[in-house]
Amino acid sequence: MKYLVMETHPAYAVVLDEKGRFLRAANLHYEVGETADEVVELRLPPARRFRAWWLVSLAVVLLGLGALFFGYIRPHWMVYGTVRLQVNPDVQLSVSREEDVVKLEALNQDGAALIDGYDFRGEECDDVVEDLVKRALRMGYLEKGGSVSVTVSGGNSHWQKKLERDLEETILDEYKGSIQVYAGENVPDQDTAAPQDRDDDWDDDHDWDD
Amino acid sequence: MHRQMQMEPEGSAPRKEHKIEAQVWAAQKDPASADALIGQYMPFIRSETFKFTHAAPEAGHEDELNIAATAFYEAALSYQRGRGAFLPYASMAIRSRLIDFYRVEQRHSGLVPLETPAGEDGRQLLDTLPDSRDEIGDYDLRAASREEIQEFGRQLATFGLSFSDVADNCPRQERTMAACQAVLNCARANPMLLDRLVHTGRLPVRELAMGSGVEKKTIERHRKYLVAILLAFTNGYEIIRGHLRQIAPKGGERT
Repeated sequence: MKYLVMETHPAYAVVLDEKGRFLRAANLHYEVGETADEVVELRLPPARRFRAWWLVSLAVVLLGLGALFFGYIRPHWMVYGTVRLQVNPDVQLSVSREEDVVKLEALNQDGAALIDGYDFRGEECDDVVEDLVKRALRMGYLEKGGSVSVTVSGGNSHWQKKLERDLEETILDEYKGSIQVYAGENVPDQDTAAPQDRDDDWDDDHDWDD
Repeated sequence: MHRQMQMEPEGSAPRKEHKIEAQVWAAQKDPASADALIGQYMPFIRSETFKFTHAAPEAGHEDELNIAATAFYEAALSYQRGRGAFLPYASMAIRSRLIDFYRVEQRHSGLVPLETPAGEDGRQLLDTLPDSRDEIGDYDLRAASREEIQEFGRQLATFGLSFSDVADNCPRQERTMAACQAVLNCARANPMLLDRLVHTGRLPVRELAMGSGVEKKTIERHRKYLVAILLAFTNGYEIIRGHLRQIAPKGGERT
């Protein structure tokens, strides 16, 4: 096995072996770019063992429910904010702090058609938004030159802005140049927004409130 | 006549130990702090090496000094409260490592060193062997490798990563390594995923999970490593790819 020296420090070097493993090893006068036939791998500390394991077990039992709730259930399963996705179908995603989708609901009839049969369980917000935009294109609600609006509510302002930015990037990564994305405060007022071009007739006589 | 006795101020030894401990905690979190700690305690490391070799490092014991420095660093990484003072702990770690190193060296002790005198004219054994190496070619290759690796490091830095970060995130188990290899194969079979990585600065986790069959959480857990290994298969890293012959037998050209 040969090792390519990638980086050197006073007490160790980072080497790359032929199998693609990056390792920390003793720096035996290596230079970056050099190839070594043998290395002395660094011994990294093992996982720390607690001597008073019984104390730890007790603490885990006492704190376990709290840790489970605050550490997993709340960030992953409890609603922290919402994401409104407007193509012309109008849908709302209820999202946890860790950006998992907890609930998905339609806000108009087209939105109901858009999400019909879509399984969002276990998915993250950016994946669901990407899927729904793809669905909108496939179903004819969205065409080249059209636009998508993303509005995040709830949570703190930092979380809102970050999620809006991430969702905007997610859509633009796939469709930059062919779809316009409005996020956050750039979302146009719905009353003045231009209607999407559609092949089929626009039906104004719908039962849903906008 | 007065005798002036200079005594150390009370509490100076515990204060000094507290300062070393603070430096060790910093070294555990940050490579730059680790480098500074090693630099500051190099005299200590040299002294511990001398105690073992009974000779100066410059007298043919440079490797022992480097091993001792590595052992000191390992001690800093593994040090915890309740293990007593740090320096005695480090001293034991250095001694233990040097003993291991000597055991390995002993296995090679049946071989004749190339510096062995080979005649009365002052020549060494090394001088009598035909030189099949191309010194200039090796030098050029090493220089080219260094340049490529430095460029690779710069590109990794745009992802907020260093080589040390990647090494720490590299899978240890064979099974996980095989999973990461599957992710790499998926990316190489779909070059647009490599393009996305470069242009967006983000790993396309979902597409890689779907294409490779590896769970998203495995990819997320080894994200730093995967960014590095996938980057190695983008344009411009022919020497690094050429080195990875066990995972890219054909030299790793992009498809």
